[in-house]
Amino acid sequence: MNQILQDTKPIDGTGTGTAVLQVSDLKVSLRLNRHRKIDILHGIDFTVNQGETLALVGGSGSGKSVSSLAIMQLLPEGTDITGSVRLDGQELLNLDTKRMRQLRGSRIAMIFQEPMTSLNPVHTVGRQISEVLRIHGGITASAARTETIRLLDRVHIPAASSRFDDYPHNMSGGMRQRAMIAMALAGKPRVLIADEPTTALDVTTQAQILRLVRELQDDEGMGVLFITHDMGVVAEVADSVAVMRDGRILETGTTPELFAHPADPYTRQLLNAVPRLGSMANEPAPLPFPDETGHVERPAVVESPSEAPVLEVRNLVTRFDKRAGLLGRVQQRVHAVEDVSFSLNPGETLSIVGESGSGKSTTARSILRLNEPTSGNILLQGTDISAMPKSRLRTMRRGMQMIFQDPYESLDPRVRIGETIMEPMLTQGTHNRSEARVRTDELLELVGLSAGMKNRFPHEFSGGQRQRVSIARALALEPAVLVADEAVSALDVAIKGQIVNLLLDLQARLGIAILFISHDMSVVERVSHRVAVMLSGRIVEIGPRASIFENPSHPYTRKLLAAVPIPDPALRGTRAIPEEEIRKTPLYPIDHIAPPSRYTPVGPEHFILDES
Amino acid sequence: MAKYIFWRILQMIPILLGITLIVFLLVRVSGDPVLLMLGEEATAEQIEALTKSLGLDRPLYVQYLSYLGDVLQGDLGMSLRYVNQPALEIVMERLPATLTLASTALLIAILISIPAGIIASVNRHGLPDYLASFLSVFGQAIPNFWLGIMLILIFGVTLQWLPVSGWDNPWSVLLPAFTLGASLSAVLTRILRSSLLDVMGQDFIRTAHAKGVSPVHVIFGHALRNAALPYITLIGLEASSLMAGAVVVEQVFAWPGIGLLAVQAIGSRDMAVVQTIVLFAAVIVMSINLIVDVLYSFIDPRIQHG
Repeated sequence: MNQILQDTKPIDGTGTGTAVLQVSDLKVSLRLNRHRKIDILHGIDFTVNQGETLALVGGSGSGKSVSSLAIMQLLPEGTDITGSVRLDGQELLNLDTKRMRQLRGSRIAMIFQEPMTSLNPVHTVGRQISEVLRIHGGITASAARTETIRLLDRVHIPAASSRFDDYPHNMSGGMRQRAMIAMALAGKPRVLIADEPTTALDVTTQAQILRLVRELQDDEGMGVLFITHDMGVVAEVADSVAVMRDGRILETGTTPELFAHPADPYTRQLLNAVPRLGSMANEPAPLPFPDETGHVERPAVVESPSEAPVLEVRNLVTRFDKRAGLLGRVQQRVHAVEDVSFSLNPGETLSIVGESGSGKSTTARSILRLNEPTSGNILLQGTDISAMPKSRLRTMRRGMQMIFQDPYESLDPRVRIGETIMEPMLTQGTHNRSEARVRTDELLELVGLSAGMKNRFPHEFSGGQRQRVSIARALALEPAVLVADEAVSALDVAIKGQIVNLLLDLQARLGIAILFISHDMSVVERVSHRVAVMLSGRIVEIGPRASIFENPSHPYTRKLLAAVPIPDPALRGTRAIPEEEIRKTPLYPIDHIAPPSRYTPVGPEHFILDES
Repeated sequence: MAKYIFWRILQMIPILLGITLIVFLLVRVSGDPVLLMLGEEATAEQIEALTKSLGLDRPLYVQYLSYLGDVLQGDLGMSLRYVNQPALEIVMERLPATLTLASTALLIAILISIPAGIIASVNRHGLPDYLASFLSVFGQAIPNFWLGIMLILIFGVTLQWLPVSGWDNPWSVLLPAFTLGASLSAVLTRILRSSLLDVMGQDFIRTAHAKGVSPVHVIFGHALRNAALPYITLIGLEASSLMAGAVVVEQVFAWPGIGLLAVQAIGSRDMAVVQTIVLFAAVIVMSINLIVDVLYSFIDPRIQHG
């Protein structure tokens, strides 16, 4: 079951002291045409020692991934690399392509962020791992097979020999990332570059993968260059840290030193912006993130939500038919949302948390009837919208608006943002064109942009600004409820704080109710009045935020909380890491009768699901 | 898989029924075969007698149902033009020529498009890419009858390298097959190029490079199979244009296939032969599409039929 992670070596940043990877004055520039080029890296220096992990930290666009690709010489054509990259003292930058290719995958290996897309979907996992052995080891197919199975076993893939012939789509995200790691280990590398290897994974899986990387490093004595944006992850894995911004390294230090005494203002800002689980212990209401100076602007306390709930969901069920066979008969159903009930008061934030596949997004979409619910009632401001005809539904949508995860995908790239914001007002007929224009200006100011930006296109904005545009669009119709589906998950940590603060500010000013869908427990702790935890389509625990975080009562809630990385290197290795388990899709035969969700109170307004 | 193929074949039956009905009606709308057979000087009695003996005086639905009944028993009717010859026999005699022509054309298109698509995508925006794009547009733009005549002029008449007409020796198939396959190879080159470019930008290609896989093996071992789905989908879709193109190309090269036969049969309102040809063409196109669908699951393990 749960086991305490034992650290075998101290975090002093010294290790054996032998440098395996030395990067000095590394510059990368992108040629635009014959006369113009953009500098992406402005000369960076760092050293990775044998048996140690150096974390390269920074926001998106800081150049951390470019650095890793430059070391591997995997940057696309049209980029110039200068400076020096030494692997065990050998200069890599003046090697010819063939010699470099021989080093890649053998002496220096890499794992990537997206285990879903980083494996070739048409080849078996075993074949892809043994390919490395065959290229670099020159061994027979059967010897490669034996060694591959040993490697799969090494990364703790259960029943390794039977997984050899599995395709990537047969594996969960965590398993795929283990397979990627096995592939990287195949050549017995001196240096492993891990580029955001856990960012796309669920939090419990992330904890497992981090533990695996450290365990393997201890055994194999590799140097690890760990690229991440997450200070919590840094505290978990790194011996030393280099903070990057705009293609420069701002600050380098050992992990404990850097966390205790950050010298650069940007490092301080990064550390300030990291949500710390448990930091809200004595706070009665949601709290904005500190600004760059560390100051927290407390919002005016919202009037105690004594009014009638603005949204009530009763016994919501959403199932998806799985058709099979030639006639496309329904053979099974995915019980994506199963007997979910909750209410939301004006000015209140209810967070729904859970891992991927838990049904949290489907719940949000069903409430807006973007997915048709199978049964149940949805009362928006007292009106049942669950069976409302489509024609009336359109008018109802004024009362409830949604913001989506990806600010790049959810804005039409060919429409000026002013038009995007105006569209709902014109479609719903709440404003005429000139009124809508005035309102658009107001909305842009409200979300912290300026009215002058309305004629720009989405690509002219940063990710955080785009999310502000999405929020302005959602607010255009003055909704009573805002549904934010992972609305800050794709943003850099500093930007994430700003957007969360904007939502809190808007809530305080407009009295809007927010349904906040997220997998990020630390953000949830910061923003919520109440929290609901979902697992396999059901709410397993629901209650006031403080009660959930201080007295998590359902085993799954406890597990989720335990897996969240803590941005404090001093606490490394002190917490129990939950075992990874493969959760199956809640897929049932069509005649399956799902039992109703029954709850037991464990505190005031705090309930857990009865297990049956 | 066997079950899937069986069900797919069963599914063809209603489609074939629909096709027989449409063709049956079209042939009858296009004119009276009796008039054509007897000539202008026929008397009303002669016409009536022949109409009656062919069963054409019965109501349309009776004619159709009796035709359908015969088809189910394997009797596709008698040719009106070739006296006392069953339509099935005539068509079967010509079928090998068309199948040879179409499969050679497909083979040529594949042999051209795979290297051309790879070279174009690897040298994106380079000279080979522009050359391949130019030839692609050219191949799609020129009508095949014109291309056929040009090829006859160059390789047959001027250079005298290849035979230009009929099917006398194995080399005869080259010019008509190239003519028929030219536009197909053009569209296939384009789809392979864009599909490969798409795949080459995927994360798992970066993974392959990071493993130290050689650039050639990245293309052949990792990219090509992933890029194959749109490619073979297009082959399935183009199967019908291959059959339609055969009609024209067989005319130009006097190729003794069902395309040539179809034109003659339509001209002489040889109803049974036209219906039989259409039925065969439909079966061929549907079979190619079935093969394509089955190939999907071999190429991409994520696609499961069952």
